[in-house]
Amino acid sequence: MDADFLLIRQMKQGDEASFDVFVRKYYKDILNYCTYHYPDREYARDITQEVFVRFFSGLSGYHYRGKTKNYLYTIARNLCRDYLKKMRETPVEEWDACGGEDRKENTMEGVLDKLTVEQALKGLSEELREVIILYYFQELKLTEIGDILHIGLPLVKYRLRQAKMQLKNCIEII
Amino acid sequence: MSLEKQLRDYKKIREISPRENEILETVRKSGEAFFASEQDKVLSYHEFLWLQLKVVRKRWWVLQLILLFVLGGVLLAAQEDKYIQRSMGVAATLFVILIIPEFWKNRSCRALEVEAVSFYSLRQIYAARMMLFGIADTFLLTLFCGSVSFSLGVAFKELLVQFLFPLCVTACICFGTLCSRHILQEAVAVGLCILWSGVWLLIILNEHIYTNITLPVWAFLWGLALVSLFAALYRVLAGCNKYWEVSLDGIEI
Repeated sequence: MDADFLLIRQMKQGDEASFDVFVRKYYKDILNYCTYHYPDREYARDITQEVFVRFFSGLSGYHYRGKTKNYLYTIARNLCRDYLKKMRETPVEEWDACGGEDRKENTMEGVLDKLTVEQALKGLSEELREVIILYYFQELKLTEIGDILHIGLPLVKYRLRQAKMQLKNCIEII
Repeated sequence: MSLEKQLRDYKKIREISPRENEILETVRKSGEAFFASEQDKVLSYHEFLWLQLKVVRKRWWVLQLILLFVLGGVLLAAQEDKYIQRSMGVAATLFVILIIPEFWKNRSCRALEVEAVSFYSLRQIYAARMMLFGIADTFLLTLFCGSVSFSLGVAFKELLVQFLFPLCVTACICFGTLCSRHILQEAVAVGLCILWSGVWLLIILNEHIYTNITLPVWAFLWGLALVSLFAALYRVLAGCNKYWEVSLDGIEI
């Protein structure tokens, strides 16, 4: 039982202050997760909002079993998959334009590194890319990744190993 | 540069910060989604039972408890008097009569149609009341029979014949009246129960009849009463849609 248990109890009783606490706690993580799946930042923000709306719609039937964060990631993953099926692939040049406002590093080297990694990530299968995003970018533990993807720990480790190998090979080639 | 470093640097570049207005908008929409789903949600069975428990007037259970206390006191005072023991049947009838008001409540308040259009059907409301009264009365009666048997040494056979059998028959009359084709008032049910009580008194006070009824006969009669009670309960639940104040085509009866 952690702090989320009490927070969710308060939320289920309709305490609006606890809604605010909950959203602020997880909004940034979910938003960043969505941006890794969909480079258009506005869509990523819409998906993030939808994640929380879906969670709250089903809150009365939600039974606390472990980390709520993992459940949010599961909703986000499903939504991102659905959105991507509907949209056409965005060209690499447009990613740069979309991310311009929030770019932290604007040196030529930084841009090249970013594009290199992005190209390498694009070359991975969806399953391997997902593990990389959750492990390196969302900084989740392997057991948490297993929870979200509904796979066992050995498979998580295998996919991570495979993903790292393929990324290294890809980056060397590029 | 190692892969991990490259990925960490990439993460720093790609990371975005949420805008305050987006967070507030998300909180607002999340709240709306939650309250909208709560409005559409039907109560779970446990919540419904709990609500019915809060609605049922507890005075009847208090009166039943007082009745059992008084009966226990009378039995304690007149331990050897067999006629006092045999009069337990009168108290049993009164015990059951005390549940009549709650089961007739929706008729006496003319609330049948209102209850029928609620999320939970009339059948479920009756079932909930039966369950609540069943649980409470079983508990009270178990407590009473246990204490009387233990402290006063009254044999279970005596309790079965003098108390539980008339109680069962009275309950049959009650629920039989409730599920009758004709809409009968509470007073009719109470009147029939009192009539039965009178018949029962005549039987037990008549030594000639009473002593000739052996234990197997009592057990058979008790079993018959129990089967009739369950049949009456089933008919109440099955025939709920027939208990309208007006007929289904809108023409008042």
